[in-house]
Amino acid sequence: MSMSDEDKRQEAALEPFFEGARRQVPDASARLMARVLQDAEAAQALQGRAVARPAAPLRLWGRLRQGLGGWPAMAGLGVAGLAGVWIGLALPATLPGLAPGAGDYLVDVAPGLVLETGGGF
Amino acid sequence: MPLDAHDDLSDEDLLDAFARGDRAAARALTLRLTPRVLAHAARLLGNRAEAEDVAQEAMLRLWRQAPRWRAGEARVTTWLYRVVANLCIDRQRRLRRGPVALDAVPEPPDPAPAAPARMQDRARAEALQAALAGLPARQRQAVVLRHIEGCANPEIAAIMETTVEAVESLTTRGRRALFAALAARKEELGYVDE
Repeated sequence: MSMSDEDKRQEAALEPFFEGARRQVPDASARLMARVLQDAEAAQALQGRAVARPAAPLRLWGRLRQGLGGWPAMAGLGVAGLAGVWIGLALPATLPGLAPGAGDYLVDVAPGLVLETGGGF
Repeated sequence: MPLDAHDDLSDEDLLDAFARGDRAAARALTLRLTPRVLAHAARLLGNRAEAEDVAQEAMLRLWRQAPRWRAGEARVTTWLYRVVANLCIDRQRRLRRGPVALDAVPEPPDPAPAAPARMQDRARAEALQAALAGLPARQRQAVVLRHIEGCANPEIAAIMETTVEAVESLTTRGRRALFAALAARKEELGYVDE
């Protein structure tokens, strides 16, 4: 809508009213400013927590550790593994079933019992 | 960062600093924008107490929007004017009544006796507010944005989500209605009608 001369005249006539309104700026009360600032700081606190929370993605080793139950479980697994190695290296020489002369220790727990076998066998 | 260091920053830069947790930016934005938001709400609603509630709510929405603000997409004031207008419309619908004119014009902050020029400003502002109350909401919004807030037509079009041509039409019709409403008080208010 283009402005006619009449519209321009009316706009000029209204300008003192607009000017008066521009000069009458409401005075924001201290109470309102405090409420707004309180909201701002609360929003910042919430947003700060939201930013701080995300954890870094776990790599393969981390996921494996978490899957097995964390560090305490990993320590137990380590001790068990070392014990297994030690048993494997240290005990074969002393195990009865594997040592030389192991037959000396065989005991017949039922000497009167004869096992019959048929057919001349 | 001291508050003074924020004086030269744009609203958009301050909002970015706010989103990064800068508490001084929160104070600077509050001091800079709350009076403007309050004034706009008071002019649209015509009621000071309700305007304060709208101003607080509009600023709260700005704080919540800050982390998602996309630089260069819009001016903060453009966004705020739109939010204020929407909140005012919602409030008027809820209250099912029109604006109350005279309550919107604030008491002078200085308690000293007002000079004649200030008294005339106040009388004109009150008369204008009463006349604005008689306009349809969209005309009132367009006239307030153009002639009191000082926005350019393209910005008003962005705020009101319409075309520049529609803004020109709204402001022209609004001015004609204001002129007619104020004509009866031209002697009293120093009305210039040559």
